[in-house]
Amino acid sequence: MQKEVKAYFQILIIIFSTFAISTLNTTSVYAQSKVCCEKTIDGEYCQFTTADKCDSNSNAASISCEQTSYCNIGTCIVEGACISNAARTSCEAQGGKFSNKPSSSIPECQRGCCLTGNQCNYETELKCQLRNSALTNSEFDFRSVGSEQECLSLCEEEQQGCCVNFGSCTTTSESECGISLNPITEQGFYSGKFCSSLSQCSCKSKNNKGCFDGDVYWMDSCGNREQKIEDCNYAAGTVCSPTTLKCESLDCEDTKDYPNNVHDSEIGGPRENGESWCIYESGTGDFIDKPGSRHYRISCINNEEIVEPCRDFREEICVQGTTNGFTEAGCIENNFNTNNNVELDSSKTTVPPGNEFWRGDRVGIGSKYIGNIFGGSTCSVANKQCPVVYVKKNRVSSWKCEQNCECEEQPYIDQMAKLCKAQGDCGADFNILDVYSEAGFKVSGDGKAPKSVSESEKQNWLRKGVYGGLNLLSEEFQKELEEVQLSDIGEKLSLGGTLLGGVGFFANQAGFMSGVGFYKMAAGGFEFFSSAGAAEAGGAVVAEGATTATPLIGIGVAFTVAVVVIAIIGFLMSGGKTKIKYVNTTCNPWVAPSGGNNCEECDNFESCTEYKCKSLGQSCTFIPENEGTGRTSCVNQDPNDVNSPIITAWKENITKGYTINDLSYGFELIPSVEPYQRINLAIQTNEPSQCKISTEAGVDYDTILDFFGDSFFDINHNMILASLPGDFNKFYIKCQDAVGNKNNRDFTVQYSVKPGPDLTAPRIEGSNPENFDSVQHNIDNLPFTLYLNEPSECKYSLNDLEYNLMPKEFSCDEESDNNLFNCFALLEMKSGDNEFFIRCKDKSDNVNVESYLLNLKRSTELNITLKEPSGELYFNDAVLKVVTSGGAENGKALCNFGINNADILFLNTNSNVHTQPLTLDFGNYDYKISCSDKSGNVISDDLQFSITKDINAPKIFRIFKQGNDLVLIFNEESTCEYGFSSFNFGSGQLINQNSKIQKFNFDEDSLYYINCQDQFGNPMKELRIAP
Amino acid sequence: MQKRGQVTTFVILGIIIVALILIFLYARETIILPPTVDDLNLEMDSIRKHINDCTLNVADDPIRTMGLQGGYLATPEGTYRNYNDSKVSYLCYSIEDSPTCYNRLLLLNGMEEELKDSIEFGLKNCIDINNFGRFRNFDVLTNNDPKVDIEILSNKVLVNIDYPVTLKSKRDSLQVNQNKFAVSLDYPLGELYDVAQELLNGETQLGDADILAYMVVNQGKYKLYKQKPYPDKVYIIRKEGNPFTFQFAVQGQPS
Repeated sequence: MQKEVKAYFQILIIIFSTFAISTLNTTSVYAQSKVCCEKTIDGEYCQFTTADKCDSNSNAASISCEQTSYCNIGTCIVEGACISNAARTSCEAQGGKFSNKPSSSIPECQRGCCLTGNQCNYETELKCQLRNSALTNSEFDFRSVGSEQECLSLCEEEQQGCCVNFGSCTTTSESECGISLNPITEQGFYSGKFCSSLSQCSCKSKNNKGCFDGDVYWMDSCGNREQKIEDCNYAAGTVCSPTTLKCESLDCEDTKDYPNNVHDSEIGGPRENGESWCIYESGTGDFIDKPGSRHYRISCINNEEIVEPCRDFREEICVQGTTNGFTEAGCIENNFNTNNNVELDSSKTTVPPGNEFWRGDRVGIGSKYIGNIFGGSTCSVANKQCPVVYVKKNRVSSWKCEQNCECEEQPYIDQMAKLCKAQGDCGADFNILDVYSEAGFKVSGDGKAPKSVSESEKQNWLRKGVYGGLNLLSEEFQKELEEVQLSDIGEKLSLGGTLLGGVGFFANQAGFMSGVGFYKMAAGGFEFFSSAGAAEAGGAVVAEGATTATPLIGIGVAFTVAVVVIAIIGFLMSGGKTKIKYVNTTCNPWVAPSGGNNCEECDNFESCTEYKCKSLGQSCTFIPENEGTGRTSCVNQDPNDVNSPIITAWKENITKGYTINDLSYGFELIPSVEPYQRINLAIQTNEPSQCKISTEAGVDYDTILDFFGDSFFDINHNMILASLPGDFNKFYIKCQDAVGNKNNRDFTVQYSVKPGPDLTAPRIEGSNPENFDSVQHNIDNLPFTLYLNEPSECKYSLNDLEYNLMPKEFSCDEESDNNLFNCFALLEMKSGDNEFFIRCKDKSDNVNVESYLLNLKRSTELNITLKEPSGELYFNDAVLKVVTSGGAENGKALCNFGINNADILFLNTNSNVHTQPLTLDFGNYDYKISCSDKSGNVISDDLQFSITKDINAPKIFRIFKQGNDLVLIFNEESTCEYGFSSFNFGSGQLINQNSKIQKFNFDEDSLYYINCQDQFGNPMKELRIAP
Repeated sequence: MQKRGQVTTFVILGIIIVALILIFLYARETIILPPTVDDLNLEMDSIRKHINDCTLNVADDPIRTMGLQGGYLATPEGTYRNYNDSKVSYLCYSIEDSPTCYNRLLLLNGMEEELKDSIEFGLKNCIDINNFGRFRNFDVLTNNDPKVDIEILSNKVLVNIDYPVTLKSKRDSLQVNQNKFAVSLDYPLGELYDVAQELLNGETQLGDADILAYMVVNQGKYKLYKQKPYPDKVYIIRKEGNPFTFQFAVQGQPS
């Protein structure tokens, strides 16, 4: 009974435990599973992350975001732009309008030409609307055009000319000028004229050369563009150089050499602007790409070579083509054929993508893990067993190989090794430093097959250049392959299919840029042996065992001897045997060469990634924190290392003049440090490490906040520390290496600072204004502050004198401000450059023996040379324009305007021309203007004008006859009509519309009636011209 | 001996009188007499310069950081990758089994808001105008902390500061006001943002953006660099001749 109770109890425990364990597992899985959060606790939208990061008030589903209703993907119309592939919630949360349609089928998302003033932008109507409302709040002009060029040409059509406005002459367009030509005042826009040709401008023609829009132009003395001297052509590779003022080539005269790249003879030579070409880190194609290698595209643009890596693990390959001597290249997806049983396919590459070979056969997610869920590895596909058939025909003959004899020959082993490495980073291979490792490929069996790859085959793998694989595989090879008769021995080697699976090279990659050709790859690749066995051997395969001797028949002694002899012969000739020996080739993930002496070589390549780092040696460890920083990112790190870094003093880099005294684990600086001296503490670690510093002993590495210098992994570490008089500084340093081994023990660094008096002269750390600054034009006495490293007295003079002879003194603070001590003086300034010689003396009477030369420039006065508009304007659109000159930077200033105070920054400012477009109602305007430059020069002015309605009729300035035409010149743009009897405006024959010049064919014998009105409808009294 | 003592007393008295006269003359100018409009305007100029200097100091770092961090100052976990010494924000997230990605929707408005918060905080600690009125014949009055509005334009970042400052005479009713201050920083943040959006269009629609084609079409106006730290991409954008950098990441999937 007791046993029964025990048994039930045990069953109960097992059941309970099962539930408990399963519950625990579920919790763990739930915590790590990823979901699509509509909103995260950080305020991000549509993030695929762990459930604990989701905002509890938002949706979450354990499917990818694009599959959810709240984060599905479409077009977001926001800020005037149509953004494709945006998530719904993210769009709507930011005030956007979401549409499931692609942007190409949304009318508002179609681009057109947006005209603003004389600016043309190729953009959506929404963006155009937004741009115009931001600028002028006016109606916008949006036109449907076919292309960006068509849009840009709309703005180019406008004729350039000289805009004369109160003595200012600028080359611009009529709309930009905004002033009509007034023949009396000679102000306005002179279409097609250079400013230098107008007497009122006083601009000297062809004063100097300049660059505009990439071309070389003559410039007049007023800085206006004149005739084009040289038409540089970007497409042809030239542009105006601001230094030589000539069309200069954008080509790369000399490009970087890559000695191992023999596929293109132009590498290392000159390249045209816009050209691009491929660079490989090993021979490529024909399965010879080495583990760790990568492809790159290099471009020449504006005299610079730009390196663009293709995706790592050779997931992208670089292809290039040349048309008329111009090479173009691109990184395209590597469509390496992974199906081992397909027919020859010339559209597939023979560049096997890499994998995370260093993980061995461990199973993971993604093809980077070389293991698979069935327990094998991608390499094991190439595991082969070849049965070699030996036959011994009788008792006196020896064993002879009859079938698959080739499997014991070197060519077979070489081919199997190549088949293995064709699977990716498998088997035996060289790394990118040409170091060989064959640990991934093994030959076994009881035969006499060679155990390693031949030297000639290895040399074949070391080829440089680009190869095409077996895309031109000969028909003979195909036939030979079909003749393999291995089925007779019970096992078929699928060599043919396997080999064919990876052959060929890329042909026509869809979507790749036009004009890019493809290499004609040299036929190379497998020189596959004929494995056809002797057909006749088939019959001998299965037979085994002895044949039966012939029985002796008949009686008679005479025959006895003969029979015996026959029997012996029969016996000897019988006893034929067959045996099979197996040659096994095992294909495992490639193993990097042992050790890690070459890890640092990783940084000598165009990029150093984990994949490349791991290929250089089994002990190489990649430091992701250092990636892309220029620091060593691949280090020799023993995987069995459990030791934390060893810290030592880096004596050579400690501030000169000090030596160290070793402590039990650390050092002390001797002698004592001078007060206020900035000390460079330097340490080294025996391996790349990250170090931290604390003023408290025994603090955990992770708890310490301050890094020693920086946070990167390095063996050299620096940190500059201040030293205040009388201090005794003691610091505790801990480091961790790249695999996370951290110091438990503090490395102590200590030094004492002399209490003073110090023997070092004070040091000037800075000033306000800074040396070489320019100051306001009207400052006679400049408040000047000097920053020193210690409390001091300072003097200055206009000549370089000794401290005691300097006539003028600074007033210096005793207390420090941010570790600096301030001294003040009012410096007398004269116009132009001002030089002051400054010397200081500290509290210990240490005096500067050399003067600090302070150079300050007093700028000229900032002036407003032009302000407009003025008088009466008849349009609601006005442009405030101010031109400044003088000051600190030849008129460059920031200008403000406003009705009561000048507190609104001009739309276009920070130069010497400042403009602000405005749309105003009728009325009088009095704007305050204020401009200030870098030195603090300020100039203020008023700008008065009125916006009014024109109520005056147009007036005729001149009337005269020109040939058969009668010409009337008006004071404002007008529209005129004529008739042969009195008529009302609108019913006559139109002469010209909105023009100051009215001209029509005139018959002297007729009576003409002329009616005109200006743009505002003010009619002129009817004019009668009698014969 | 007595005479010598008297002389000393008179000398000391004389020095004191001269000192008092000098103090009076100084105080008359700066404390006793009421200030003129020109005096107040001049002081307002100094305050404007102080605010200008503060803004330039405070705004510089966040604008540069924003460029290096792909348009964000805050970089929550999972939204960036470490590269080139920076936390480079993903502006496009990967879509499962697709070469394209979905746009994270970085908007100028959002960037302006982040800059506003950062610069506003910095200005609160930097602007100190109370010293301007100390021992002077006018008071410096302000109501509140500076409110900042940021406008990211193509080639500059405008910092508009709403900070009413009144300089009020202690002797009469004269006062000078300025409510708004504006500072312009020459960073092509807006222009490089536009370039980033063009590249993102390529990434969202085609799964890639050809930097060489973009540079050639724009006649070398921009310098673009594309790095591919596995499995992501990092685009680095600069304007020719300008060191200001805008860089962003595109999330990739390990295949």
